[in-house]
Amino acid sequence: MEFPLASVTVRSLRKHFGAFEAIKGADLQAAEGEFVTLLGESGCGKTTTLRCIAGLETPTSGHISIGSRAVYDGDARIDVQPERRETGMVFQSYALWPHLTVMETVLYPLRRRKVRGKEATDRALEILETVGLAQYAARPATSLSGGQQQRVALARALVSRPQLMLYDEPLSNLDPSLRRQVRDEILRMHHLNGTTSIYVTHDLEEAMHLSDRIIVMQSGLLEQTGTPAEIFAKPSNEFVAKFVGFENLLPATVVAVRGGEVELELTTAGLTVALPVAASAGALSAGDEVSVGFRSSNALVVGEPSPASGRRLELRGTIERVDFLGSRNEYRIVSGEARLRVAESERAYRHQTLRREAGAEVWVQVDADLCTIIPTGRTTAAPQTPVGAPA
Amino acid sequence: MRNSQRWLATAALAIPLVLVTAGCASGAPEGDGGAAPGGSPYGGEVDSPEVEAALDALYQEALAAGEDQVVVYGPPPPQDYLDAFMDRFPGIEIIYEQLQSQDRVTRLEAEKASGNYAGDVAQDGRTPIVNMGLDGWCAAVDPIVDVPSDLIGIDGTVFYGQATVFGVLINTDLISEEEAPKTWDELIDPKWKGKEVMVSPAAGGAGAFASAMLLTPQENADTWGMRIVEGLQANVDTVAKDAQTVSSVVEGTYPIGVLAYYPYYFQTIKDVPNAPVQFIMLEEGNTWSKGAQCIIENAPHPLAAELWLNWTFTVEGQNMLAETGTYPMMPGIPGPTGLPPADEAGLITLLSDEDSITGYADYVKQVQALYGG
Amino acid sequence: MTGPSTKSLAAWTRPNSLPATWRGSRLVGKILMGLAVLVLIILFLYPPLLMVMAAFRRGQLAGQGEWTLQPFLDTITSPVTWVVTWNSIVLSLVVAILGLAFGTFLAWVAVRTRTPMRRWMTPIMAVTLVIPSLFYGLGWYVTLAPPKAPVNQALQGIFGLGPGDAPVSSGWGTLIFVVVGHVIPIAYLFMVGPMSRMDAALDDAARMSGATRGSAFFTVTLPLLRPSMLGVLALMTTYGMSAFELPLLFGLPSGIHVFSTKVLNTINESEDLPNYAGASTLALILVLLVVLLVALRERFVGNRRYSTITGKGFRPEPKSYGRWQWAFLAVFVLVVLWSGVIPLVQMILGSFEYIAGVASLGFTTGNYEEVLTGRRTFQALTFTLGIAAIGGFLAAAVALLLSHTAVRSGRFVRVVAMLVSWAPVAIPGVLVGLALLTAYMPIPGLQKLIGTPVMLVLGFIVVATPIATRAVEGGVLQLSAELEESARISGASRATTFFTVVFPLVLPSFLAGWFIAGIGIAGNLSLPVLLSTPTMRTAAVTAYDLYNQGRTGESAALFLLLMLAVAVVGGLAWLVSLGVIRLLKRTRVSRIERAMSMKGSVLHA
Repeated sequence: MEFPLASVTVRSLRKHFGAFEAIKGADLQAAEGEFVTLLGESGCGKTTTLRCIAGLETPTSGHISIGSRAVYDGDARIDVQPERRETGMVFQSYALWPHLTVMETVLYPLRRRKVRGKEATDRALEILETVGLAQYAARPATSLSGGQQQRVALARALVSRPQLMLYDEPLSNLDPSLRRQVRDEILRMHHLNGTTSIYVTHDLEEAMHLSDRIIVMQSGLLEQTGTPAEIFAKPSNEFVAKFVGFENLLPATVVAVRGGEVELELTTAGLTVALPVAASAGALSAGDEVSVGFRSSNALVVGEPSPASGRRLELRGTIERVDFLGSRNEYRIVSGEARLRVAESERAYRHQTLRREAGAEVWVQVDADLCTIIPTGRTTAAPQTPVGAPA
Repeated sequence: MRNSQRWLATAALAIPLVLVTAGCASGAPEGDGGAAPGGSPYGGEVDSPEVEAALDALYQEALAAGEDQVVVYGPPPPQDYLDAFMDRFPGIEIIYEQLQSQDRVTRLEAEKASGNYAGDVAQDGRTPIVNMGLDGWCAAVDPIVDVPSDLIGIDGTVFYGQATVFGVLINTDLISEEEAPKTWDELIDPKWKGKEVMVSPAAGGAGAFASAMLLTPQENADTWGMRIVEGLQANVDTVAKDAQTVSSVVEGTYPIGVLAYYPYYFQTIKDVPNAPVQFIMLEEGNTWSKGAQCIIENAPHPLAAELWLNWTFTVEGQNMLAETGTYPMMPGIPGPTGLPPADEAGLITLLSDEDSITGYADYVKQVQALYGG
Repeated sequence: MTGPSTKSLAAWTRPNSLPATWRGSRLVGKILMGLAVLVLIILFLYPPLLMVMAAFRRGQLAGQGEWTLQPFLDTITSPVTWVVTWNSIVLSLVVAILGLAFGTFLAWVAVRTRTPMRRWMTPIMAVTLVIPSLFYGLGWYVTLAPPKAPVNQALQGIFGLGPGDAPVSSGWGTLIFVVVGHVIPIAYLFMVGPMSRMDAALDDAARMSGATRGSAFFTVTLPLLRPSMLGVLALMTTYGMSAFELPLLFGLPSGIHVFSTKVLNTINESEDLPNYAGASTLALILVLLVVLLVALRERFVGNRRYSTITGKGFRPEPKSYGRWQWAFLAVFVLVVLWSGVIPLVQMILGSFEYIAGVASLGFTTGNYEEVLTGRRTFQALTFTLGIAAIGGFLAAAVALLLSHTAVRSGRFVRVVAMLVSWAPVAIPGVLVGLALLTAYMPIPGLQKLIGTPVMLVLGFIVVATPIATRAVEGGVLQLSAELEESARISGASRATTFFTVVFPLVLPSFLAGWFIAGIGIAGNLSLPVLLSTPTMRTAAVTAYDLYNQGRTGESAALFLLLMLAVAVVGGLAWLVSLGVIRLLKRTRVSRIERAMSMKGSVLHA
């Protein structure tokens, strides 16, 4: 299938709903063929952004281009109607028309674009076979199961070979068991035709699996953009860090940066630790306030401190609570003023002997390369040139 | 009529006259515009020969002008009455449009504003038409028929050709004419409590006005007044519509119907001659409603309208009124079957034309309030 | 890949011109909208406003003449005013609630259960609606009023009353009973559309959470129908204030006087100048009532989303309720007897009697002879059917456009739409023709239309739109915005979306609105008299006139002919449309099958 490709450019996008600012000045770009996900909690503006790109909402100001064509420009008074933007969209609640069959649903976009007769039915059947629903062509679209309906919606969006695909949390309304299936379908279709896609979700795993690039949004602003690996490993602020699953964030101050290492004083634990510079998402200088973050599944609970072998963070604490969940154990450990969460795998459980009960004294160990230094944007020092930045 | 039209009319008249005179045997023609010996177009069936000739001329003129209907704003009379005119003057249809008086004025204003004139004649009880005349809605007409001056009002624009009466209706299976009450005082006798049915004055109809007639002018108030009105209210069971007064007496639910509307009774016995009902007029103080007509200014069918108006005053027209249950007002014409002529019927005194415009209003309200309206 | 901008840019200045929503291709839409709003305001809002003003002026025409407070004060301070208002409010409210309860219940039975004969319910209710209120009332009058009637005879026996006693002939109980029976079919037809388009999954969800079938009905189904029900309730209550015939027949003899007769009496009370000011003062009370009801409805419906057609799987499969269904059927049969069969039988008998309702004089076919040979009978019947069909359609179309635009637009448009769809209701029924005529007279474009069929159709649209809106808006509210959005994305313009997605999905409600509006127009007495020419007689006006002349049997005969004509034409239309739908479906399916068979079982390259 030959699909046209377009890039998407959004500049300085703003959208108010009365007094509420849903988008406070967003810039984003998607290259041709790129799969970009807008990731965030509800109310962060990701859906509004998507709808502005689709043309279903009119922004308050800003600029949106699809391909080389401006579809919205606040200054130049351009506002192209949604039906002319040549996009395809998959909605959260499928948005299938109850009065049409599967075949008619998929034929609908073709008819609107004046594709008729045999060519239309051929293309419709083609896409239906691709999503594996050709045998349901004569059935009313809304009589199918949830997963099947979303695939019909997918087929409908793709049949007119749009230059841009938009997805508005398409898996949220599906049974958890079906989500994986449809997600795989989406990915497969994307590999097949390579259309530029913008995907909106609050689910980290979906974003990780599908995207070439993730943009994290909060309260109408973009917090960070990067590849899934980058976002996952190196969140650029505390919000993103929490979002991508860093359950443990320890406040710390940068003491010094030298020789590829960053020396940090952990404020609440009263410890000093040295971590590689690579553990940081951005440039650091002495006096910066940061968080040292690690995931609960990357930490180990041991009964005794071990002699330092390799760089490691080691914190002493008392078990507040243990939950035995079968495939893993979850600990809540008080260390100084911090509350740590550790998830112990079955493997570690079998290999470690220690008192696993409230009140037991334990040590939490985290390898340095599994720690991340997350900037907070605050600093205790006077502003100066940061190390590592061009002079 | 303009001179040329007059010549045309006379010529039109002369030719058939000559033709028919030449060949026809004597005898009354069958309700069709044909001439009979004696020279009079309708053989004396309609009125005097002079009147008939003038009417026929007017008729031809109307036809020539393409006037094929007369639109009357008012409560329709029995169809037989209209049919009599239409049989007499084929080609002209009489259409009645039932309009309440306040709606009528609004409608006329609208016609004036839009220029789409539709109404030719207005007919109703006296007062609304008098009002229209005073406000200049009516056209002055010089009647062909010799109408006495007391039947014409407001500078020759309003005409009183008919009246309707209200009386007592009895079910002859339940009560005989001798036993039946024949004065207002007898009607309020408590022995009739629960046996009398009357249309409620609060139902928005003629009932309120009829009752108000007992309260003014002073002579009525002295003879009858609130005493009678309150006495009635204590005695009667009320219904919502005039038609129900008749039907409940006919059915025998009540032996006596008060303020029964004569035309409804007339309609009933016409259909069912042996129905067990009879209409009685009181010895005196019978309430009645004087009817009036006028031709509307800017009527789209002025000639046909004039023909209609005149016909209602002819001997034929007036007799047809009686035959269809309405009281004719022209002198010498007998009343509807079985009833005395108008001047002998013990009709209650009404306020004068001008006084009646505002004179009854307060009393109407009084009566309605009495019945909770 | 460029990096993000994580914080807002500094100092963005807004350009000094219209914001984006006002420009480009959307501007044309805005201009059209503005024009439409203007026309709607003149046609719909101006008459009631004029009426409000008329309360304070005294003159030849309503709303003209000298400014004076006297008639206003006279009417306000008269105790009768408040007695009749109270009576009417109580009557309307009780009747509306009971009628709506029965109507909703039967709608639910017809759509969501497997009760036997449920497919006949809608047609039967539709036919019942056609019975004119005059003869509906007379039918019950003949059944309940005469002491010799079986009902009264039985009661005389049970309670040892005298042979002349007719305990149920009038009074509050009888009045409410009769009026409720008259409004149940309307309530049913209003509710059957929304009921048939509800997402059964929501019901199921409630059931799975432990609710019994009964409580799921009350806790899920009913609340979701709330917008429709409250709208219908408000409408029925306000129309109840204009009830005229039935309170006369069953209230007046017991001293129950109502609002509408008072309005009529007030106008007529003086022979000098009609008391428009007094009547308009009374109308002010009605206006206040309407405002109150609509405000209450808005508050209860609020901004919550009621979309139940979301395209997520909606086919409400009727469920079996076992033996209960026989009880449901029994209720339906009783209601049909109550609303239709008994009055209809009496009406048929009446058409063969000399005086309708009086059997003692014997029977005759004379009434039918008179009516069938009447000069203008055929013309009146065809005219009535034509104008009811056209007027009803246009009113339903206006209602649909109004509701749809309101639901998808901002606050201003929504408020205007709401005002427009409720304003004509605030005019008492007996004054509607007068109000419209007086309002349109001075307006240049409309003035010339007075006395032509166009003005009559316009008047009917204005009067019928509130009714049609209540039927249609429920269907529109249930439509999720996403269904339209997905169509827009698929390349459909606003207009195309409307015709290919919105209209097919609100069709049941649209048809109900068309029908109910059409019946209302066919039976309307106030407008034709004032707005049309005498040659454009509607059958209803003719029949009503016949009744008032005492030719009651002919009146019954003519009304029956009208009902027959409506049934025949309606039935034909129903059959034709069913046939067309079946034909379309067959072509659709065969087209798809053909396409698939051409592909064979090939897995394409």
